[in-house]
Amino acid sequence: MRPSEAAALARQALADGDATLAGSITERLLGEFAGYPPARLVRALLAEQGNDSDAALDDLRAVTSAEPTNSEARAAQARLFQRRGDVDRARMAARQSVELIPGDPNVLESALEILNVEPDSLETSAAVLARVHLNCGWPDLAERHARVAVSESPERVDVRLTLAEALWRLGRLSACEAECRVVADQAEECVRAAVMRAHILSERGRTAEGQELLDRIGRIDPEFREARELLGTLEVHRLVLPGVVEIDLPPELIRQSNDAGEAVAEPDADPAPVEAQTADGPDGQDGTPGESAVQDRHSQPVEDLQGSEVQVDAVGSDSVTGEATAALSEQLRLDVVAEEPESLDAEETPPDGVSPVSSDSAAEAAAPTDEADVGADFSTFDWARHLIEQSEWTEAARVLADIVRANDPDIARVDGLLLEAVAHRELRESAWKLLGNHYMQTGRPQAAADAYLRAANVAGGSTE
Amino acid sequence: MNSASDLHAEIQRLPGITGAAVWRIGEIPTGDLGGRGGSIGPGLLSASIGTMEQAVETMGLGQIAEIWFVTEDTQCLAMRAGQWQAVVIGGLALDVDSVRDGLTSLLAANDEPGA
Repeated sequence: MRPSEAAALARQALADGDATLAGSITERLLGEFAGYPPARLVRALLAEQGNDSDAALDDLRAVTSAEPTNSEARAAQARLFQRRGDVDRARMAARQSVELIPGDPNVLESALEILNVEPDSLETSAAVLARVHLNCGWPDLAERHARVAVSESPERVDVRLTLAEALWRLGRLSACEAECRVVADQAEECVRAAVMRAHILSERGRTAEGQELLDRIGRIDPEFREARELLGTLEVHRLVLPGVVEIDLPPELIRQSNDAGEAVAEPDADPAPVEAQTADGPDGQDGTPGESAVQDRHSQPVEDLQGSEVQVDAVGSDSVTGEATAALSEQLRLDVVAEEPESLDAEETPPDGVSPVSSDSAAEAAAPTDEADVGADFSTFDWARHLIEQSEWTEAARVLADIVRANDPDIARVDGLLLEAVAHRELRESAWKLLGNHYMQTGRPQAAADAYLRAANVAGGSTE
Repeated sequence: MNSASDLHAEIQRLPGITGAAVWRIGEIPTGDLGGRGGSIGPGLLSASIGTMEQAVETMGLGQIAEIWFVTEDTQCLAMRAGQWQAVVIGGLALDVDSVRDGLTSLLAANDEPGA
């Protein structure tokens, strides 16, 4: 079972009022991945239910360090601050939550309740506009508003991360890197900033360091959800995304979870597997497109990773507060890549249309594990991969079209497969079109528009 | 209820229409834009309109019921009715008002209450 699925089970148990089961699953997850934000969020919510504000706030601090744009965590912080009578901080956290545009109406409602305003009377701030424009795929507008928002609230790490991402999407890598450093000062576990830095390092020819940094992210985000989401927007990159690890939940926990599910389910409820929707970030991008391959790359001991060629940034750790140090002491810092020796004005390469290597190499890296899976569970996904490996493009395109038509509930898995397919020149046009169809089916029109445009560009290029 | 392809065929019969795409929310747009944009055209136009809808909704301005635009040689009307959405294009002579009425009736007639 993927960690996100286990976290979803814990969320479900929490929602069903089974705190014991939710706690057991969470502890199991955190035993394996100590910094996994969805698990820490569940633990925080459990602590909140148990009136243990300190423990809840500790966990939430870790969650917002890894995911500064997690609106649910901000809303929970707001509730806890309010419970303590710290009205200013409560309102600040609630405003942050609202400005992060939570997808869950309950989160929004909770934040609005603390702000004591109706949704209609909320001012549209620069931070909101930046976020909206970034979500809509307009990074230039997002950058403009994010700069205003940063000047208004320089302490807001989520706003700075939005600015960093806008710059990254615009291909302004030096400026992005500078912002990522500031983000890492405030939120040293920030996964998104680490992914962008890993990509920037690889673009500068320091691929090994970038890869190392990316691998470290697996300690916090074992499914590399954010890495896949960000790197998936690039046509090609040099980084190899490790395979997805799985976690073995004790059978009794799974049984309990199934029992609880049956107890609350409608008689005609859809038996589809639980999706990881609640365990994910504010953008509603769920899960990972990773496959069933089981790899333990990032479960290797920390010492092994530290023994690599990456240098340790000892200075960076000074910026951690005592509180944060306690909360994060067990976790591996992501911000350990050496300071850049080169000038920040080094040649930049836009995220799109860059390096000629990696998606192919990613597919190659995934191949052995896929082959290992063939005997056990040869799915349509495996078949599509097999056809791609065998360069049977027409048949592969047909199978991919079938997969999209089938509208598999595992959205991220389909995303991942199609993003792998677009790395192959022969499949590129059809795969981008299918990706557009898939994005439309799954309610992501802006991503669909981008995919269709890419398909049109590929078609135009082929015609020329 | 008709399928998207049946509905597309009916929409194409509206006077002045040179291309159309129709889809139910959560499905792939079906249709053709009279050769404009090739096989990607219907998807691209639908997704672009969907993007605008999403932006408008995100900003709290409500849900767009219809969008009309005109270029130097084309008019385009996008409408939503229940679970159905449609985009139609036609020349400058297209009578948008009558197309709007016809499209509204077709979409509404094919919408499942509570779907």
